[in-house]
Amino acid sequence: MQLLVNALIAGSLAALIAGGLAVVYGVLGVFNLALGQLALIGGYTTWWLYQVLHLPLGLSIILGLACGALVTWVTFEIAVRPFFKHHRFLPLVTTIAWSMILDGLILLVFEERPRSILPGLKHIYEFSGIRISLEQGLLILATLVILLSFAYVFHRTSLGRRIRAVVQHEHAALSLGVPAGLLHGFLFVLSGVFAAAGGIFIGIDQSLTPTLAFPLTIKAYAAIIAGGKGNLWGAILFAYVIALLEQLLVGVHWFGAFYVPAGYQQTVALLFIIVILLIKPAGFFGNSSRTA
Amino acid sequence: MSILRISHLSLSLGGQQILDGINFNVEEGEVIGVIGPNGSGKTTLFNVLSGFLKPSHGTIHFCDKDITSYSASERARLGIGRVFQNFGIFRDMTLEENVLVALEALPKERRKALGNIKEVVKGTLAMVGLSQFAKRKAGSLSGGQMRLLEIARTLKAEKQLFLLDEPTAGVSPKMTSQIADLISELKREKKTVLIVEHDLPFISKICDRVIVLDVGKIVLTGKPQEVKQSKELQEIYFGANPAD
Amino acid sequence: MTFLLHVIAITAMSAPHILGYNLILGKGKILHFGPLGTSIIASYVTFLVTMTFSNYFLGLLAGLVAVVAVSSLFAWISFRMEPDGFGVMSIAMHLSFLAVVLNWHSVTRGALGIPRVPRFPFLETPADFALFAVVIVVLWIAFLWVLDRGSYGRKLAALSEQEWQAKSLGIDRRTVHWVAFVVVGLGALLTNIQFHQYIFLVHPNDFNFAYLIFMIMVVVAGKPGSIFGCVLSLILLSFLREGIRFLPLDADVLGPLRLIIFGVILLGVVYWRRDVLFPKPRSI
Repeated sequence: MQLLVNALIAGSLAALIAGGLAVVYGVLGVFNLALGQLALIGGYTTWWLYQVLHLPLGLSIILGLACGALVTWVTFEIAVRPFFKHHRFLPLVTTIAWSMILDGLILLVFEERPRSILPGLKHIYEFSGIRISLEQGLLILATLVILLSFAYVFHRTSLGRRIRAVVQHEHAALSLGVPAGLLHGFLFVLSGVFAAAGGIFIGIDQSLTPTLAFPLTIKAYAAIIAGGKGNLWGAILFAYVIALLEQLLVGVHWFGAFYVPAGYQQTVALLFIIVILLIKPAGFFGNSSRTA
Repeated sequence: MSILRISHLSLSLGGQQILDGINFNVEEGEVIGVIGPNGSGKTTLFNVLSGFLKPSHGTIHFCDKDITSYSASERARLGIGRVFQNFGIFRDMTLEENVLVALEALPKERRKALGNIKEVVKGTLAMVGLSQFAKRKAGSLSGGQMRLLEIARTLKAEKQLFLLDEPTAGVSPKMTSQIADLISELKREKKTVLIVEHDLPFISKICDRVIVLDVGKIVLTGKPQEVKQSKELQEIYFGANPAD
Repeated sequence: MTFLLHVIAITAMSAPHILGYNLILGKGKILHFGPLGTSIIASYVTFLVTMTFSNYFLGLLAGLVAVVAVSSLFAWISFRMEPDGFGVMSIAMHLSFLAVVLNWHSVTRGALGIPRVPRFPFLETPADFALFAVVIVVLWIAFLWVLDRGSYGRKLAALSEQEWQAKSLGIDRRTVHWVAFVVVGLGALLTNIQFHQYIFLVHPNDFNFAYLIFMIMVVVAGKPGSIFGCVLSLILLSFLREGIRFLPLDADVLGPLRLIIFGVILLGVVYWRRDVLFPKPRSI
């Protein structure tokens, strides 16, 4: 049972990041490999504002998200926009390069030491043999609220209709007057804000180290590939599934004989994808083909 | 009044001259057919007029405004509408949502002037006999129905100039006559229409004027009957020695 | 002088792997971002077997088998995925192999690495290594040249430009791409056999992400697909890489600074070469 709760916590975090990414991929057809670094920047900024400058936590979080949005916008202008119209695959290489630059900057400014936004004892609640802290509960709730709000906007508002129109037939949307170019930038920054939220989440629940970046990115992409590219809810679902598998892998006393070392947790995402590919090469809810 | 003026429009891509010095004017309310063999540049011309491609030379004036450097969505907001060869429909959205997107993209004042948006959506679907499918996903429609929806949606979005790219392609004969009726409706509302087509009888029936493109140039223009009987047209389509 | 020999040795040693990578990424336009995954398996298998059985021949054979197996795995996954999805997954595989090496202490000694790697009897001084490396790389370049200019090179180029057209002419994508993956693997093996002997050590740090960036940079800067362009850019960028060590900065600062410098160079180089790396597909 504790495993399930842990999975819920880890999954919520991954779902935020994967969700934002799925929308970007659906609209732009672009993979952003600097995503993990963007998440960390959100987390580190909040840490610095709260722990070093002693600003109130709420304000630190908001400013952390704003900083994440800003850096994501810069990412878009430098590593994506000049390239993705030319060829869809170029941003894959440029965002790798950009991720290295961000890694270097993070290391220079924040060093390799783990940083925790809320270090020290948390308010732990125990019931039915399950331990969960107040902070973790709030984080799961916050994620659900964010995802549900996004779902509402996406499916019920005029903005959401425009986003879906651009995904489904960009030229038709343009010829009706929908500003597709602006939407590209907006969605990309939104995915960065979601990632920053994920980073803040990690900083509160655990601690931040620069080495977390790539595993986060890989996990988010594993969820998208498993869910079928361009399928937002598939990606979110599989973010939770992968989190559950990771918890199972290292939490269960296999055959009563051994525990899998925690260092292998990352490998779960990879193995999961390979298994999915064996069964369904287009992902579980994959559409047959995107229009262009 | 010339609603559209095209001057010396040229486009070369990858070393190839796709459009070569295109010049023509379109009067308000005219229905003009654009015909020519495959590869003559018809769809490219529409892509340039829509704003998806930038010309290498030349200018485009719409309602006396130079729109050559305008983006596609800017041109749409000015009143240029496009119907696509490959069905510009949002397949995963319902028919209602498809119309809503078009109306919501209008500039604020014009949206307000429309009044109750939901009523306008209903009226649009009723105009083309698709009311009973309002809540269905647009991808479930037949080709002809999609085409009707696209034209109706563009009409209700208050466009003045309609660029119809092969509106009868992939459409049954029954639907073709419905589309012809819809285009006549456009004419009655004094809309200006450019149509790319291969269906010459269809063009003859509804167009006031025909422009013939070949290898990126205008080689012939005139009334449908004149163009149909011209020798040049025979040569372009069938070669120098057409079979009897 | 020793430093110069050292740079020549390092550059020539790293060439086979990078030149192989040039074939798959530069010419084949296959988004393979996991060459270091193959590399790490090649190194660990080769040297673990060599040192366990005190037999280089056995070690090399084991390494070869491992390389073909891992390359085939990468190839298989690339056939099942879209190109950009494979790009991400190949990174995931690299990181996973790294995770295995770091965690399987009993076999790999984890983060400590494998020290006291035995050398070939004729390799003692930097000059020996430099000479040997240059000979190997010249032979490897000759091999790649023949591959590139022959029918294989044409097939690979055709597939990268117009996959469906190439297939409809009878070109078998799976075979051609599988060969490309194996060639990268063999290049990795050639590089690693020399490199680990040179530094007496097999260590997980030699397979980190920063080195992938270096490889991509060399390929893109040198004009993707061009063998001699790649050699030239490798020489220039190797000197830059080794030269950065001499900056009067703390190790804490030097590491991150190198990441930033290489990231910036790669961005610039991709912008400069974007037409060659991934030509704009003609839509009209």
